[in-house]
Amino acid sequence: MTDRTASIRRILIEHGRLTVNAAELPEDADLYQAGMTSHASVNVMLALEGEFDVEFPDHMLRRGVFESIAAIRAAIGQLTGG
Amino acid sequence: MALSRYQVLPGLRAHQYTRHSLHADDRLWVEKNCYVDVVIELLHALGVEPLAAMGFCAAVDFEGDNFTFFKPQHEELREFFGVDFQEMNVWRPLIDHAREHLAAGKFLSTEADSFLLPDTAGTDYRRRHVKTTIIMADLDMAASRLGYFHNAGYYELAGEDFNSLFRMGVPADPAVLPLFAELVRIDRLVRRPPQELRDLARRRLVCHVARRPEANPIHRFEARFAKDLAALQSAGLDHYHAWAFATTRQLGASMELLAAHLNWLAGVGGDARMNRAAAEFMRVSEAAKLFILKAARAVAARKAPDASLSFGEMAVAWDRGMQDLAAAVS
Repeated sequence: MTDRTASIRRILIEHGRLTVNAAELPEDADLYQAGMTSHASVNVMLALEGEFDVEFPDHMLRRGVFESIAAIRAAIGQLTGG
Repeated sequence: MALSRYQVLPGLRAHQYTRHSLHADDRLWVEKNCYVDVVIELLHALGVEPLAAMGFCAAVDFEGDNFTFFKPQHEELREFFGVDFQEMNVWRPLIDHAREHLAAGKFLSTEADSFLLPDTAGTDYRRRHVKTTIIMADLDMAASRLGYFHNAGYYELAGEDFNSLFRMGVPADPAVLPLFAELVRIDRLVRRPPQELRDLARRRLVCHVARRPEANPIHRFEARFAKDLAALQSAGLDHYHAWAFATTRQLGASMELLAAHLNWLAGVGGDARMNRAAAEFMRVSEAAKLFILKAARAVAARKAPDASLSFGEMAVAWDRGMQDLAAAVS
């Protein structure tokens, strides 16, 4: 597992309030189906911005960007150029 | 053997339940507020169209520390569908009321504590005490199990949660006030043809539009937010979530519901002004969705919001939408 993926999983454990264990969730699993509410997704967004020192632009503040571990990793990659 | 199971709608099963499209995953605000959500699903389960009863969202206003906590109008539910909500006097244990009324084919709507509702796992269940509304539909005394509508779906609770919800085996405590409850009668349920329902809804919409805010509520919201921002930043993120639920979510969710109502009312090839108004209200709703995230950032970082955290687009879209809507119903 990459460091970035591990950090995303840790943030989901701390802030996602999922009904399943984020440490074992498949990377393409739907986080909303896994119990992440819109309330929790706000906290996840803020924690991701703090962790990776990025700010999601408006066009990325949408449901699809936060819907899976893979989608979040892709978005962070886009913002950090890596 | 005495009857011990009371089902208002035989055949309703939590694991087979399909939500109404207003609660589909692609909605901007899947959950709106607990009361409107539960009524939407009750109507859906009864086989009538909840979209017809959402015109009241045109009158949603900013009230200083809240946007209107919007609730379907009981008079409309009675007129459109023959579904009758009446407050019930909770003068004896809730379980006795539930047995009596579910056995008689009536639903029982009551305030409840999310702490006891397993469908809120991940948020409040066994974590926080939060007042919400459920509608009881299936009471199984022998199994200590309750089928209930809550938020965007239909669920079951049992065992310890059942005993706590009904305070089973606990002596009556005069210091514990009864929760607000309503009886929901469906003995005069009517499933109208779509056009008849549209005609009724359109007539009622005229009244709702006449009650729309006289001044743009988003301008007042903007002024209040500017005044409250420093206090929101001091109070922290948990407080922000409560504020956002009372304000931004009610605005955004009501505008999405109003748009859905207008598109349903206009139908295929219907009044273009209705569709235009709906598109403007969706802009308000989308902007509110963005605002809830950006304002959270401003609160969490304790910094001034950036210039893009603007109410301008929301306010203009609200004005345009109301102009089109008023013209459409005149």
